[in-house]
Amino acid sequence: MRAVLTSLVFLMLCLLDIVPAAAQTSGADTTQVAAVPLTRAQKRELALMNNLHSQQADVRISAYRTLSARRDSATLALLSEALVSEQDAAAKEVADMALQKVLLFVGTSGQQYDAIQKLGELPIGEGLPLLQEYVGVPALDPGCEVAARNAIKALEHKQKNIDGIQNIFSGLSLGSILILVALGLSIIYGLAHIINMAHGEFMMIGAYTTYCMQLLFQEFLPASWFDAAWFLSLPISFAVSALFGLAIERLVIRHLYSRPLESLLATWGISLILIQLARTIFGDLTTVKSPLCLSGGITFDNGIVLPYNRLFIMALTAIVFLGVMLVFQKTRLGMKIRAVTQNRNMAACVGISTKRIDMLTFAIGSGLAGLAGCAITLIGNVVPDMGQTYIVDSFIVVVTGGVGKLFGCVVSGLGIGILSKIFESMFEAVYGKVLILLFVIIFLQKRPQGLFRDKGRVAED
Amino acid sequence: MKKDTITYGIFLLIFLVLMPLGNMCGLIETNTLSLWGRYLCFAIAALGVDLIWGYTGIMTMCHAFFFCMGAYGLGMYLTITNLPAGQMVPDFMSWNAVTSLPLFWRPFSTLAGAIITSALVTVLLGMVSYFIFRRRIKGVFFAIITQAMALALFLLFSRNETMLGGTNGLTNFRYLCGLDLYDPQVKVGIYIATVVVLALMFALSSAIVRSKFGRVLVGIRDSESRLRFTGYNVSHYQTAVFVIGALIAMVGGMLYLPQTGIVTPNRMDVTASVEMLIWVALGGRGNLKGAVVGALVVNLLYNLFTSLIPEAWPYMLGLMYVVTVLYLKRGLLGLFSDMLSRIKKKKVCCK
Amino acid sequence: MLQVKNLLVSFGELIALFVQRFEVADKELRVVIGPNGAGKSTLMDVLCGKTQPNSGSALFNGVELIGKSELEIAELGVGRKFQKPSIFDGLTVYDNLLLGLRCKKDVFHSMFFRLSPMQRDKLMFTAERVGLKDHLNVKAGALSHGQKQWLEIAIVLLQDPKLLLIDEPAAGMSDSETKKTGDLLIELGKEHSVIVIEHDMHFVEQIAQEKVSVLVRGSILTEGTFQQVKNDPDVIGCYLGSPDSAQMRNMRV
Repeated sequence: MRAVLTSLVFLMLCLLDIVPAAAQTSGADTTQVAAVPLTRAQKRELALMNNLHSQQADVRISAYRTLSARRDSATLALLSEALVSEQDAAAKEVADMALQKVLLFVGTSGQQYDAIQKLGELPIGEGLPLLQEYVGVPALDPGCEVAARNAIKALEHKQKNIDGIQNIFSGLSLGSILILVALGLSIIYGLAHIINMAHGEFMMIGAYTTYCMQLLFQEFLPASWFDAAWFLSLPISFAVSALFGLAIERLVIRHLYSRPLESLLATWGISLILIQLARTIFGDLTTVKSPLCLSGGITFDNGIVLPYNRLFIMALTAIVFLGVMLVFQKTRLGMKIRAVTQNRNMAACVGISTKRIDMLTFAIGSGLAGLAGCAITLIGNVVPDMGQTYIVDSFIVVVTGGVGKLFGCVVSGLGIGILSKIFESMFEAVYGKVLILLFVIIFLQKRPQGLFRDKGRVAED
Repeated sequence: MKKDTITYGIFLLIFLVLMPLGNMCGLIETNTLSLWGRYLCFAIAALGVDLIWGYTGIMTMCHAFFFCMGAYGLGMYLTITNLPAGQMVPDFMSWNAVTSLPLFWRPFSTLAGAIITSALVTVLLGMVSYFIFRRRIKGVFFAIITQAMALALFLLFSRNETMLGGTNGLTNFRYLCGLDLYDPQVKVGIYIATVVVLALMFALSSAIVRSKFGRVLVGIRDSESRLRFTGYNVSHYQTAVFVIGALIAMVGGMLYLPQTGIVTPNRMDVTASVEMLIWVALGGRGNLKGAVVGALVVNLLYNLFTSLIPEAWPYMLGLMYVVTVLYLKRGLLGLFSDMLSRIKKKKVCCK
Repeated sequence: MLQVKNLLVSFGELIALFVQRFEVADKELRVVIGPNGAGKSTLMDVLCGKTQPNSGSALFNGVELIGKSELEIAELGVGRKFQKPSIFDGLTVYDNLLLGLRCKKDVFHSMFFRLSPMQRDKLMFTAERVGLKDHLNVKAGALSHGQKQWLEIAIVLLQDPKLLLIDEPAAGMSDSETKKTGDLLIELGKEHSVIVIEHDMHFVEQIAQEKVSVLVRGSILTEGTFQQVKNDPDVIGCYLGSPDSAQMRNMRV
């Protein structure tokens, strides 16, 4: 029964739309139709019919999806017939939605009204364009048109909310990266009054380390190890960046303690050299493949998607921050670093080797930037001057948070991350940046020493 | 004092007399002369940096922007006056479906208007710094904020919808007040004008440095709080020198444009501003002669390297920063005078 | 001249200064002594506008100083010399003095400033007074420590202040320099009101003409002539730390 009905419908379709006029004049002789060589469109139709009766649910689902884009009563009949015999629950749902989508355009006004309601529940990306197309159709039933317009409004509102949440989420992840970069900057400035303009380049070194790790793994190890390469790069990029930091501290920085403006210039020079070095070795653009287990994301019913890679970056930042706090508050090394930060001479007097502390702190700060670089490979390309993109923002984070204040870093990092994403969504990215800067200047009018400041008698200059 | 007069005399002799003469005799190509003209424009900008950073101790990282303010101001005037007959707006605007000149372009349709408007904008933007100085934000923090400002302005100028030519900048102009900029004689003329303006700016800067105002600037560098307790409004002075430096750079930019024929946002990015710092640092901070020497030396090296081994230039420039900071605290001129005094001492010893 | 009432300064939990009543008369030379951390410098910081107190008032010739900026206070005629010499190292002694000179100090006037003969005489007189007349063309950074202290005093003096706040002028000076500084201060006390903070008891003995105030733990412990103060058991206790001292009593309060 089903097969007969289908072939009849098929014939009808052929006659209505596809079969050339010549075939039509020769009468409805089935044999003759079959004898005509099939056009490409006809072949596609045949394949679709086959799929519609396939044994596999997912093949049928894709057929339903294809049909849902059509706007004719034949499809309507096909779909309603298929819906009756459909057994699979998921496929049934898809078939029903396909039916509604077709009904919206070819059904009676009552059916249209129902379809509008049902489409309003769909994910926004699916329902909204259809409804928008629907209200463009001339001579609609007035009741249906009002209903459709209301549904569109509701969907757009929902879309706005989702966009808002997505923005805050990407702001959080941007903020996390800024925190990772700014933490090192802030610690180093607090300790030694060094402004490290090459900090962004330590980040770049971390990113290239990740890239090299991936190349090594692809070369020498089976493909199943692929994910491991990325995760193993985390500690290794920390170590490599820290080593670079150590070398530069020994060569240049140690002559510049407590001369922030000079250190700014010298480290700028270092950053130029490092960028050019990367360009010479790696060329202009490389990408690191994200580990498979971090692709995709958590999808919520209302259409919000939280990508795993961004979630991972946030978690990483949280862990690193806690780790740094632990080191600072609970270990002897941390105590020494705090001592030197507060009073270098006194610390030296009680037997702390300030040189060693400077070295270690600089290495740790650079390592943190390396970690940030490794994390950034999840969401962006690796280019030689990638550090420059983040360094200005990170400095602004440090200034707003209050220099040397780790907690200030976190608050201002997240704040600036979220604000810039919100501004970016409201205006162009560029104007967002300008606004952020204005915001920071106004903020500094109120609190020149940042969010968190020292109390007490201010030292002489 | 007398020694200085001789130095200035030699400088003017070389750049104002010998170089144009060489050009007339065919020894120096006109393009080489224009190249030097451009470097002298940079030297003018460096004077401004030296006033702000070398004398007052304020590290500015957006000075290239003010340089470009001049170049863009004149560029807008040239763009308007060089439009082909019948065309209402430059090409980059018509691509954006803009049919009439935006309102903020209007003041730039005359030369005087262009100069006055650029100066006004420079002064106004320079005065924004007052809000930073007022809160006693100084040193690296000021540097960082100006750096962010430079980045923001660079991005704004790079956009197409801000109607400033986007990343391609302003170019394609040939006539300045009826003078053909491609004409070698005009080129030589502009070069000579540049040397004269540099000399004037140098005289102005050294007058500023020698005045009581200049002493206050050094006072700011040495002890801001002492000045405050002595009754000076430090932030007014800081803003004033910042604006003066910006205006000097703007003048440099205005002379720069007709000699290159193009200005793009790349001239004003953070890198360009930081490069201005190395000119001054290499020549010798707090020494106006140093600023000029530094600007010329760095740009000559740039020219040399980019024509011989372009890949090596960033290494060279980077090294220059490091070496200057570590070993040349008083710059090349400091090194020079140290060497001179050492030689003198030796001579005295020998006698 | 100067009347301070109920002045309270606290940094977080710590009460750095609580002065209920402190008065200085016209042309009086007042010495303030007290152990480390007693709040002596904080008192001066408040008077010259560097630190804003939590509450209280300080009237200077009937004008409230609290809430005014350093600049306004300097213009009213309060001059401050810091503990660590705060001078312009990169300028010559002459230029240092020039910057101190009382005149209009806005940007415009500085640009077109010309020294009048009267101002020049005044500058030379002050330079002579602090013994720097032969060093006018020396970079201030190259002076000895004692000379730097004098230079700073001279800069302050050239502002024609009515009240001079001088923080440990003799710190790090040799005996002869200290003696000279003392003489200078006594002389200044005849023309201006002067408040001097000092640690060195010999020096205090030299300069203390009238009253000496003792500041302990942020409050005035006692005031009197040098002899009175020197023999006050509370003061002795403070410096030597006897268990019954005022410091201990204050702690209980």
